[in-house]
Amino acid sequence: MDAAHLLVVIALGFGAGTIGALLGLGGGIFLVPALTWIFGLPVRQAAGVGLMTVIATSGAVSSETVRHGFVNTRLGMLLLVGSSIGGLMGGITAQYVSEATVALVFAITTAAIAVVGLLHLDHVNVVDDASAVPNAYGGRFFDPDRGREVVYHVVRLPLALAASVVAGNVSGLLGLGGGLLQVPALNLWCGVPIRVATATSAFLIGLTAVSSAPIYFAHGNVDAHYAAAAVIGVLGGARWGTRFGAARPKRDLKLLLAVVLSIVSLLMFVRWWKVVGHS
Amino acid sequence: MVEGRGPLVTFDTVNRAAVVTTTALLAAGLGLWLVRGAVESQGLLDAGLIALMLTPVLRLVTTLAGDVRRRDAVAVATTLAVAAILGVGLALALGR
Repeated sequence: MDAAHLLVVIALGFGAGTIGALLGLGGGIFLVPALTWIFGLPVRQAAGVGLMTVIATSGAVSSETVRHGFVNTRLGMLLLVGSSIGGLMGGITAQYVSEATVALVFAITTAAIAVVGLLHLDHVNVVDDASAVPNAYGGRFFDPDRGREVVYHVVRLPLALAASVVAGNVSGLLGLGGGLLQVPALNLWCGVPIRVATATSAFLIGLTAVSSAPIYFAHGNVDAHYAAAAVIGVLGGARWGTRFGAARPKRDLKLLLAVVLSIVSLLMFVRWWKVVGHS
Repeated sequence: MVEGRGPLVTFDTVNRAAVVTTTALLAAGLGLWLVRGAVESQGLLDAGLIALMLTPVLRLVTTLAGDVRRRDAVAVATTLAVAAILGVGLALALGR
């Protein structure tokens, strides 16, 4: 790696950090293939760098969004229990369902969620009464769209937990972050405003990633130079993305989420096609 | 969810300190690598990555402290469950 490569990796990290900050995703789905294709980094090394950038995104975004009240730690911790159980069940799922089937189901699911999201761009999840008392897992935050504090209630908690279990399960099998399923599920069906869903997801992804990142590091699967450059890019991108996202209407964030879901769906269809084609 | 001012300030301070430390170590490591070469920068880069991995752990600890301060028993139990699951998962993976 030379200085020119260093700048490219920082730029890639900046992009991943921006996406992560705007949508509460790790950005690894774009960064890992880019590191593999552009620099020829082995997949395991690229995944190790990807995990480091997920932790960086989470840290950078959390310091901005917690102050705004966007992060619901009480709900987040509960969902993390669900996704952890789902992750532990990944080994069982892998015995009964092939990677191709999981990729196909994931592709169809993300495409369907993207369509539902596009149909509900103007869906509102906040209560228009600042004096209202949020329910057990609900909360209140300063809504930039309305310019005042708003309240929201979390509904269909079992569905949110189920989505977390599935997200944790699938993320282990396909190497994706669980935020791709959690964020739209929380926003579309569980009453969580998009800014709270993305910020809570960003808060959680760091905790999930830190359970495997030390293993990659201890086994020498994290190239320190690529990781350092990517992390510095991510920290800049996440900081910029958080501020940019706070200034954008929530409709734009939902539209971007639908676009990213569509791209991921396409990537998963390609993955399914390749696995089926080679078998 | 709006938390009490105390836990929020603690969380923000700890998180920012961790992010700043990580950034400083990694930037210094990359700078040294450009000027002096790979061997001399390795220690700084490794220290930066270790500091980075500690950031979510500190976040978990400050979240737990906030839950305790609010006397939210359900949240305390959930956060402890998360810590236990992550710890067991990590121990199992490292033991393989």
